[in-house]
Amino acid sequence: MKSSKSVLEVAVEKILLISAFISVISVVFITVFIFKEGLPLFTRVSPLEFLFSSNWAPTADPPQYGILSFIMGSVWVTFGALLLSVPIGLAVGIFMAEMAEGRFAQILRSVVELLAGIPSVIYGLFGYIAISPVIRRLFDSPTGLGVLTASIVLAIMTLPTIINITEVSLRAVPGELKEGSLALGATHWMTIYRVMVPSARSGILAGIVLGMGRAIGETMAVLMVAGNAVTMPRGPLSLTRTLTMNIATDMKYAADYHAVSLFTTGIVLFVFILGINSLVQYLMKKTVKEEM
Amino acid sequence: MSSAEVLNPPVSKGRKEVVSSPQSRKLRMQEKVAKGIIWGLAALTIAILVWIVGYLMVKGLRYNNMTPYNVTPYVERVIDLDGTEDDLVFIINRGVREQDIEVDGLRTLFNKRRNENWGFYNEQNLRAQPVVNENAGDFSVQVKDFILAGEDLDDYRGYVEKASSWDEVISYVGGTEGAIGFLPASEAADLPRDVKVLGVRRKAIAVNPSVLMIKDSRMLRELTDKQAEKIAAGEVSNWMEVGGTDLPLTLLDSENIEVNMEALQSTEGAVMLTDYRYVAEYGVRSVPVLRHETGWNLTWHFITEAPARSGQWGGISYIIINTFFLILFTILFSAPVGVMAAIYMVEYAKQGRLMRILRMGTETLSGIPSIVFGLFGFIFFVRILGMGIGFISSTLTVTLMVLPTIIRTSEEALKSVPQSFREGSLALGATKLQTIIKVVLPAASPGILTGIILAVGRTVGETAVLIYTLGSNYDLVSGPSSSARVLSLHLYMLFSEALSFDRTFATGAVLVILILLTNFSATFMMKRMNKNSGM
Repeated sequence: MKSSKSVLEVAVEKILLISAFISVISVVFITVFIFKEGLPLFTRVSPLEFLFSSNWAPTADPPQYGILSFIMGSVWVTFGALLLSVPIGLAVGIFMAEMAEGRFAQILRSVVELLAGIPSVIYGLFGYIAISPVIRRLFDSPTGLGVLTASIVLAIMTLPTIINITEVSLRAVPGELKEGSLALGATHWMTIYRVMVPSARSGILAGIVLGMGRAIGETMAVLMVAGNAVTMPRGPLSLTRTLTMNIATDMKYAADYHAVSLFTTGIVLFVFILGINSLVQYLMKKTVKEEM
Repeated sequence: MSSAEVLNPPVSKGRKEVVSSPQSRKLRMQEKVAKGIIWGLAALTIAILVWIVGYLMVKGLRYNNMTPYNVTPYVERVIDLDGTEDDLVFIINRGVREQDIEVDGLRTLFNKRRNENWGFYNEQNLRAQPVVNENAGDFSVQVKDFILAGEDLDDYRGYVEKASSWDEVISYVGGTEGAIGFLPASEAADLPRDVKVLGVRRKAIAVNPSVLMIKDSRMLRELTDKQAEKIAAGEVSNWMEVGGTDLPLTLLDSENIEVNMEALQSTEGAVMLTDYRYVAEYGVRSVPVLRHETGWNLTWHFITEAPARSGQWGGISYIIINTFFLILFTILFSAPVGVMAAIYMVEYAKQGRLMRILRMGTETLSGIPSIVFGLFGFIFFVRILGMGIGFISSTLTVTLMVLPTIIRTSEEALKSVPQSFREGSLALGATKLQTIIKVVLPAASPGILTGIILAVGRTVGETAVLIYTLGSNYDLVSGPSSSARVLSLHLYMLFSEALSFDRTFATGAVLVILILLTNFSATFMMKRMNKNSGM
């Protein structure tokens, strides 16, 4: 009786273990297959040329595979988004952690949750219909699409990530620090920006980096508002194409090495994201250590 | 000084203390400004959401367009034809959602050159079936000339149903879906309930070609309905007044058509309000007139009808059902695996290397962008496992995507179950497995459910991963390998094919409503959970 039960228990434990490993296995599979599909491109073109040439003509003869303009597109759009979302995100995070009370706090919390839940196609549609005409009129750009519009849309999309993590890290700051500062006669605001924000900086930084990851990886919204031009972005009003857009657009008709090059683009994106993720995990670990 | 103290002593005393140190006043100022800015930004966040959701709901619920037509918006329900004794009335089956039609539409409907469908006029996917009375003699000939004017056609084509009396026409129109016919006004006195009169818009603004020429880099492109009215009433004397070039406007009478048409052709800036058929007949030009069209966008029909013609006609019923199928199967696959993984990570795994690997796997998986999932799904499920672009490939890919969400929330929920529950159960002699199933899981279930609802929200909104794993067929899912569309994908397809912004918005509104629903139920669950743990 007892032994049969323990056999069951062991079996269940094994099943649970396998379930827990599915995500690890998926990560391994995704990595292996993306690399396996994408790496053969380097028999045709050197990695340096792929990364540092802005000549993208995969269907020409001879084909050109240079994705520098897409990398730059991703960089422009992402930093534009962070430039807008970091100040707002930090402020709202501070507000939620330290200042918000009662009903208004509750409403704001639901709002942030909803912003995180709205699908990216909705953001894209909204950006195209509502934001691009404003840009067109304000800056006299012909289409109203491009880096700036994409940055605004992405800024709204990354806002919840930054707000949430800022709030969580501010709340994790030990109470004694805050109390000590207030006891020394510092005002509430001084306590926030001289004591609390500095001691929560790793966490806040992790939130910003996480937002950056979201912005780089976002596809649909930018696809709808960035203009999708295969050129080097020259300024906030120029049309651009990001790494994700390159994959989503060309996959429709890509064949042979063109398709391979899209997986190679995927590798670049994947490596970016992995780097960002490790940075986040490092920062988070640092936050935990600082707390202790 | 003393009088001020008498007036309000406590406040001035309090002030004095602050004023005593200019530095502290500065700090107080700083505090106020900083907090004001933060309040402002918090309000901005709310405003952004209200703007987005409000904009989409308003646009999604109602359409409000200015559509250019060759004819003015003036509707005639009873048409006075030149040369006939009786007036003319067009009737349609009640099921056709159309109030009035431009005369060009009547021509194509009766000609049936293509597989004529009401969808071209009111986005209702319904085949049009014209009917005529063969034995109507002169009247019918006149109407035929009216309908077929400008076409190289002597008689109706074969598709047009022939009836032998007016009563037969009425009963045919009443009994056939999408049918359209015509009657003399005297016969249309009391029509049965299943037949209704179709209004016709046929008045065009015919102009001398000089009106539409470019001059001083200006050109008349179109008129609004108000401007057209003013011109017809004779209140406009120069084309400049209605956005045209500097050209005097001469309004001609539409009586005695031959003489006046000649005048129209020879007089610069001449205009005549006339039947559209004469525009084609005399080879003059007409100015497009904008019609203000407004109404409900997100109607019951839109939700319940099947999509047709790439989503241009009909509704989105199949697409909503497909979305629910995708959600159902994604949760069916991901919830058990996710919850089991969380149980292992909370109840069994010891802190250490294994745990670090598991945690890193989940975090990495949650950070991977959806387009990379799409690439993986395309290469692994579609190509290597040979499942093809379709329902099963996309479900499995999305399952992997939402797994981290479910694992993380379930983990939190399991962790929040007090240790004393477990100890109590174990002390009563239950095994670990029994404890988990009978004690820990029920206690954690609201949290787990919250995670599942969040996963539903993610599934509803996901698009990039589906483009190359689910395809673009807008039919109902019929099997594991059938290509389909879900709401978000349908929205993107409508958007990228630029088929109809109204329908894109209506689809977006449905999507937003779904997201609001999932979010509110998640919040509700979370509140219940807090209540439970509070007890």
